[in-house]
Amino acid sequence: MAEITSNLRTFLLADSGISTAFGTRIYVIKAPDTQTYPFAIIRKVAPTANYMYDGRWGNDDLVQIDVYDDDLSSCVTNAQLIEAELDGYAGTMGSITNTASWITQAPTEEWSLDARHFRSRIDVNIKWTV
Amino acid sequence: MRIEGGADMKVKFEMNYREIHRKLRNAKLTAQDVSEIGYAGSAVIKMNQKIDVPKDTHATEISVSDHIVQETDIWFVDQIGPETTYAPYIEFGVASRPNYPIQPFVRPSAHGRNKKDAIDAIKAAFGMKVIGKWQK
Repeated sequence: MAEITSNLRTFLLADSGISTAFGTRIYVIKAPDTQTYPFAIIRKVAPTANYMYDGRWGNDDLVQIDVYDDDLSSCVTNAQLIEAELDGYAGTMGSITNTASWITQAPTEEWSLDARHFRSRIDVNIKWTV
Repeated sequence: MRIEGGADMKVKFEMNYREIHRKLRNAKLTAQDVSEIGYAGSAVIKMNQKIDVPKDTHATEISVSDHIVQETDIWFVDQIGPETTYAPYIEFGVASRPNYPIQPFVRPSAHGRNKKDAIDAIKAAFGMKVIGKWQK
């Protein structure tokens, strides 16, 4: 069964600007314990499958993407790269078809005193079919 | 609106939209009416948050409540969510610990089928309220 997060990762890393910034350090659900900045984690917030009488015809998923960096300006810039890539995009996304996507929470930064890094949180709503 | 017949195995259904529009205009919903209609949706959202919130001490579940921000005859604004200080960490994770799991329950309460259920409840409450006004 296709799902959104791994396909979203594939899609984001296919962008040259994003791959230049992150390398391959965009993860699903969990990042490795030891990490190089910047990195990002993709997590599902609210997956919704829509059904008709003949079965599943579409999905409407809310996804959270957290960008981590020890530098505020690059944290902001890299989060904006992801935002720009996803906001309003419709088309192929890995092995699925994104029929519509839009940002529901623009990048919002916060500083972590303990970890000494910044986090920028983005929420994106993606409607997709297989 | 008129529904009649049956004798010829056919029910005749007539609906005059002009008449419906006139009655809707004359329904004159009060702020209390609008509040009751809107609150039908709030109740669904609140219920979904209480169902989906992770339950350990139940403190966050108990804290889920709503605050009416605006209540007039044309506008109803209600904010529904948990009150515990740590609830945002459950919802969004913790910035200092990237691998801290998120357990969202606020955003899902207004997404997908939950959102549709809330809108359906508002529609039903609106229908009941307007029909109640017509009968007077």
